Amino acid sequence: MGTDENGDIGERLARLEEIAETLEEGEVGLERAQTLREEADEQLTTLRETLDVGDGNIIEVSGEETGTTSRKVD
Amino acid sequence: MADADQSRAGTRAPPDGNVWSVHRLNAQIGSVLNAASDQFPSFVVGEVSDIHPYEYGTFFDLRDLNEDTTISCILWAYQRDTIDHELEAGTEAIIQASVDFYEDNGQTQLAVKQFWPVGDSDRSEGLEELRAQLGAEGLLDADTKQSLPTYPSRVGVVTSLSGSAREDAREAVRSRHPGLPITICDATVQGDAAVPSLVNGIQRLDQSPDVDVVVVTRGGGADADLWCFNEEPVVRAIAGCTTPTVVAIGHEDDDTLAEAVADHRSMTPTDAGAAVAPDLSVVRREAAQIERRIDRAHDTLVADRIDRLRQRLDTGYQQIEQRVQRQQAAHQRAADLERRIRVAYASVVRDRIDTVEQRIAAAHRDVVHTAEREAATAHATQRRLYDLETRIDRAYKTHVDRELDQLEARIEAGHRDRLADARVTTTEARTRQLWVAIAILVLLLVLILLAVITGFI
Repeated sequence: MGTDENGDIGERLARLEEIAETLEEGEVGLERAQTLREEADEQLTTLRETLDVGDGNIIEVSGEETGTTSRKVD
Repeated sequence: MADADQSRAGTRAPPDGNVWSVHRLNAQIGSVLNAASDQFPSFVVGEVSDIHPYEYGTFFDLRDLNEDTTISCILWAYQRDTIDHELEAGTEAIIQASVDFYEDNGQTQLAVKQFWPVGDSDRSEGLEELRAQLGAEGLLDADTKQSLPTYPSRVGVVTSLSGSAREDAREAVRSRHPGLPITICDATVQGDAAVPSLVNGIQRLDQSPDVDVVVVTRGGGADADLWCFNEEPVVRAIAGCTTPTVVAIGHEDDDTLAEAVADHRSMTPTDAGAAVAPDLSVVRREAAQIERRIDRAHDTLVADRIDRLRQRLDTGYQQIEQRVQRQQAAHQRAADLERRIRVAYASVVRDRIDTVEQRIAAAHRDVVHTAEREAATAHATQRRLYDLETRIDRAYKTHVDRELDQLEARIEAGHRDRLADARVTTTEARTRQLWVAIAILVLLLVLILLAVITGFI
């Protein structure tokens, strides 16, 4: 899982919340509502793909000030 | 190092000969210590720490005032109840005790009979001074704490790779967010090397652009083991982090300055992992809730719009119907008016025609009457003219005859007179006069007759 994807979780949830509130206010037309609905579906699909990614990597860094070594655990 | 030693040990043959059992060793240690009991002092001074009171007694550590060495102590309850003052961590105390060795676990312990607090230890005083200084600098203020990222892209952990805290923190992160990358920076978490090692690890992760939050953690231990987290370099390294920090040292009742200056304090390594990793199950539930809200809101909005459109259509249809009805009424009214106008026009025309016909008939009658009257008048005039002509003719004839008779008689009488009294000249003269008169009369009669004929009379 990349950096942007993790950061996108919050942004996508915020955007989805915004879409939900806009639709709940009911002040938009049918065309705009359809557009928002389609965007929400895309956001949800991408969000779930992000959430369903497998284990992230673990990097262990050992060593002191005078020298370091790193290894990827998984 | 242990792996290397183990590997090398695995290649050696086991020693032969004098190999003691643990029990024998401990028994020997106990025996030696008992034999040398007179060589131990009755009073020991040190700093009290790690106090664990129980019903049967209180365990605590006595730490050397200058060196990093400690010894465990036990103050049995029956002794504790006879002492007026209380044990207090961080205080320097003089302990009256005997040295006990427990062969079962090979531990040496001081059995305390009495103790006398002599005030705060230098280390404890130094700790409070540093705490006060950090407080004065605002590093302990709650409003200076950074918020932890809700969805970090990578978590950095400073801990010992060989400690249980590493696994506890890692499992806590993985259980909540399996995909969250972790960078674990190995550090010595107790002893003399701990301070530079911790500072190095903290600063390294703080400088890593990929790490969004830094966790500094280790498991529980004695106060002396945890003391490095009160050391100023470590505390200031944490306080100086631009990356949000979470510190979890020891157990809930352990309190270090590193935790005090951190942006967030967790009780245990597991709690620290949970603090920095978002729970994806919660995110999924939240996403599902938002999806349901969007579905409901969208469906409600669409239904509402459809209802509005239907109402507008109904209203429009009704308006059209009313308009059609009005148009039909207007058409009907126009037809009625047209019919009325046609009837009225026909009536007017008929009346006018009748009037004209009557006028024409009247005029015709007048003309006919006038013509008849004029014809009658003409006829009467003709008849009158005819009568007048006849009368004139007859009168003329009568007059002429009479005049002729008279003239003839007068001529004859004159003649006879002329004849009689030389009357020849006279008779001729008279005759000529008569002839002139007759001519004039004839002329008059002709004129009168012409006048009658031409209508002048």
